[in-house]
Amino acid sequence: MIYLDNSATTMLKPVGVAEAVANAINESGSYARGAYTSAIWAGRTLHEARKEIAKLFNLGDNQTVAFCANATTALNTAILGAIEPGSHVITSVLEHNAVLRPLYRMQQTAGISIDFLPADDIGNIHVEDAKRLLRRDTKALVLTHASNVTGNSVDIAAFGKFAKKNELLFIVDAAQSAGSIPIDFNNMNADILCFTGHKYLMGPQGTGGLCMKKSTRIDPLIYGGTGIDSFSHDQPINYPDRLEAGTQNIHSIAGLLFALKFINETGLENIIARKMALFTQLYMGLQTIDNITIYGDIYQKERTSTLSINVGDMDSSTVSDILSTEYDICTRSGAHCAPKMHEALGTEKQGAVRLSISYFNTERNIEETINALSAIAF
Amino acid sequence: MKEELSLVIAFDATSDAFAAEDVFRQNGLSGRLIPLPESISAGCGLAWRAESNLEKELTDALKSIDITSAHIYYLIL
Ligand SMILES: Cc1ncc(COP(=O)(O)O)c(C=O)c1O
Repeated sequence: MIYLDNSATTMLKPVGVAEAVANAINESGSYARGAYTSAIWAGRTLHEARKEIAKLFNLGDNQTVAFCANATTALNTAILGAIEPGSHVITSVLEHNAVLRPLYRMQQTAGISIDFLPADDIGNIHVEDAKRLLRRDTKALVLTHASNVTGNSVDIAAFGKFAKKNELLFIVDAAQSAGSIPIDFNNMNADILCFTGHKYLMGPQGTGGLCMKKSTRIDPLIYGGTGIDSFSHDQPINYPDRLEAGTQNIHSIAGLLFALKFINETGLENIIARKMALFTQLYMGLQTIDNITIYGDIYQKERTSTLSINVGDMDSSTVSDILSTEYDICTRSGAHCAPKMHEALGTEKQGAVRLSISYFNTERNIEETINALSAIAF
Repeated sequence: MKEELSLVIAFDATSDAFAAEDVFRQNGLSGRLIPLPESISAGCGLAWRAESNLEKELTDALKSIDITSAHIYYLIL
């Protein structure tokens, strides 16, 4: 099998991740629910994971990470819990449904209004458009750091400056960029950065979180036990504890911790260099094939190793199915949960075949994929 | 078990308790996490228990990582 759906979830994890999960199942008690050995083990594991996230994303003093199930939960927490009811929000057509649907929900229940930054024909958004959409009642900017369809990155530094200047709450969706593009939370002027553990951080499913300044006010999405202040009717006021109700998923976080250490020890720059070498190989191979359309800004300095294509006017689902059944190559077809991106690229009917590369793919994988696609396109 | 005067640090957040444990260990300060004694609060949670003469070292260590939610008690435990 050649696995090229890493933007959905990475399947090949660093050796040791699965073992770390198995070990945690044997060792871990419940976090914050006791001071006996296995509960302390859980607490130390969570604390170590916070430290590795802080290192990878460069969190400063007074910034922290709250863990949750995935980027979707983190984005719901941020959008439903920190955006002011009745205000105006700027977002973009690049966004995943994990951003769009909580925003639409806020539109229905909290009276917010939404404007979308348009994309140009290679799928990029521009800060000049944000200046144009800015209103007196604009209070928040919600943007993905990288498109899950084109792999293009967004110029977070420029948008961060814009948000800071205009005192906007800036929420960043790092689901695709974490582990693929350097993230400097302390210097990017973002208030909340949402990530998922199972994509390019190469950890287990069921892990994710949000990075925040401890002073940012976010109402919890989930209310319940935290192991402290049991007689209070409210969640603890301190972050991240305020956002971590319920038994934490220490088993999977132990796996994520192992994966984060692997990334920090290998060096994110080395991981990126490896993935982008494979990406370049794939692009160079495919761009010579007449019948193949390639989407996105391939020559961007910072981008992810995700490439979306179409073959002639074939349905993307047909191409993906042939790749799977005849070549055992796993790709994703269709709309990738980002409806407005497809409208912008004109692929809302055809969808797109998405090939997304991980650190553990090989040159051979890419070569075979190029050969398969050229046979399908012929 | 012999009763003795102990220094007990309570925290407003469990995340702080584990960050504190980490910095205390890095500084070679003895002590351990215990269930929060009921005499401090009838809630629940974790506290750090240490020898009663360590207040300055412990509070310096907490300051070094910006933990401000710590409350210090002296208890016979
Ligand atoms: C850009 C983007 N945002 C959010 C998500 C949601 O991530 P998860 O499914 O891990 O919650 C995804 C992936 O599905 C994504 O690609």
